[in-house]
Amino acid sequence: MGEAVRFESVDFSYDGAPVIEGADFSVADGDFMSVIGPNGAGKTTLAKLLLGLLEPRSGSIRVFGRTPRSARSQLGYVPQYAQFDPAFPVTGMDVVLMGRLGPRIGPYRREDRREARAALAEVGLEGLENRRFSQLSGGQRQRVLIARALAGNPRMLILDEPTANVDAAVESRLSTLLRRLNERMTILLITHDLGFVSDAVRHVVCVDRWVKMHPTEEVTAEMITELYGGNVRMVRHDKTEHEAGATGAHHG
Amino acid sequence: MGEFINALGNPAVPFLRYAFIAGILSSASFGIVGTYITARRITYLAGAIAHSVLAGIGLSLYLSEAHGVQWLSPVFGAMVAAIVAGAIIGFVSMYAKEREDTVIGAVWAIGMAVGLLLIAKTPGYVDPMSYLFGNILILSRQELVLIAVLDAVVIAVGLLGYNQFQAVAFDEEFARVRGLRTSLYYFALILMTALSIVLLTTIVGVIMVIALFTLPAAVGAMLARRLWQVMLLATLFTMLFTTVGLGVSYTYDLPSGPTIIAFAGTVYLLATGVKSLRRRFGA
Repeated sequence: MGEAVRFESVDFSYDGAPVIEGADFSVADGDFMSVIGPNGAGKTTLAKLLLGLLEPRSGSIRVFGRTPRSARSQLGYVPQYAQFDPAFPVTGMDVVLMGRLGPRIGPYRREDRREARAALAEVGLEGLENRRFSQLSGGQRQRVLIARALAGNPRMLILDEPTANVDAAVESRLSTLLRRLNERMTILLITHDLGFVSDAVRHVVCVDRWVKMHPTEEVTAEMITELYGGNVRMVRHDKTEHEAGATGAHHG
Repeated sequence: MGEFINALGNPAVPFLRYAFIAGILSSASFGIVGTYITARRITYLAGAIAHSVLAGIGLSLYLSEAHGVQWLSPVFGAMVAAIVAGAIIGFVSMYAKEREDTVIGAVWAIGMAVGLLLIAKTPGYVDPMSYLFGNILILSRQELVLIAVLDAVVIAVGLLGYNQFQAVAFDEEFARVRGLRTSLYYFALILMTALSIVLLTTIVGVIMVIALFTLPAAVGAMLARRLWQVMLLATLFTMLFTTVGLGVSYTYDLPSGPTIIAFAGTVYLLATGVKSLRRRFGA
């Protein structure tokens, strides 16, 4: 199996404050990887580095063997739905069609509309394409954003906190959808919600400025307590130690 | 109103006809650009550019009166100032995000100060009120031609890049992941805003022109579900506001700018009122 993502000693900082330090990990093609860590730990930064939206200060990032920027067309990005302006006048179909955009200027083609409709059907939203985005429920809006990412036929789907502010029914539906999608694409799921799709996830990356990868079965309750709370002074991730102060401030 | 329609056809009062044509022409630019910038919530940029345009108007008045540079019309000066102000604001907001508001405030105020100083030093009497609040008497035929050209540019770019502008306004990061050069679209939008401002500064003045970006698009957004529908409605509302405003101002001998804006504001408030009543009573 090929490699979807490889990070090698990647450092990133915002205005001098380190956010990611020495990130070394890889994601196999076809994997279902969950990125976990407390709020402010650098999970979204990791995704943005991977998408080429941010440039690392040092180290190298490869996505399907290429630079993130040149691999972008193969990535489907699903941001958090709550960040959108509810007053923006667009329909669900308008949003999904954005996933068909590229450098070419001009109107959408028939093929674009066909792919967009197929993506809406894939996430179970057929019939709602002409509903205004703001009139959809949170779970539906999120599925529109997933359809938008799918419309570009990506090899890898990157979801940022899809379970934030959604109820249990939406969560279980999302879990089923992601499992199905994982049969044909790599999935990278950023979440602070540890229980979500835990049996579908094959690998876990723990992020708290440092980045550490584990197979799912290795993730123990102890590690999680260490990552999220408890006595932070006792956290040891192999040889990496970090100060209680820095982590303590991140508890959300 | 009948008097206004007669006057439109009267060759003795060409300025009224020019103002009417300018209003109709610019409505599409304002509908398109106003919809984009309100969707993207950057109308404050338009405010800064509009006010700084006074520097260009002042400079062109000064140079043509004091140094005999006759070809330099106020609309041309306004265009140059709008492009310069747009370029400054665009660069700052793209590359030095944290200082954006300071720079916008500076461009806004310095532009006005320079313009007022140059107008004060222009030989003969020039009433700055005409440029601040609009005066249809100062619109010439050549300026109308320039307005038509700028208008065509704004409409062409705005419609050709519709899908891209929409995507960038809705979710800039996603647009970047799709390979769109988002800073290019941002810059183009600022320049389109600058050129649109030039179209209507003569009639409504530099201070109030911003209302014609926001109010028609706001009323349109109450009635439409999609961005192009908002544009279409905003265009029609701009046309309505400038035409009725001009008619009322001519009929009752009122200044054109405030009349147009007061009418636009009234329609906006009524629409807001009707919308909140309908929401309350669930109609």
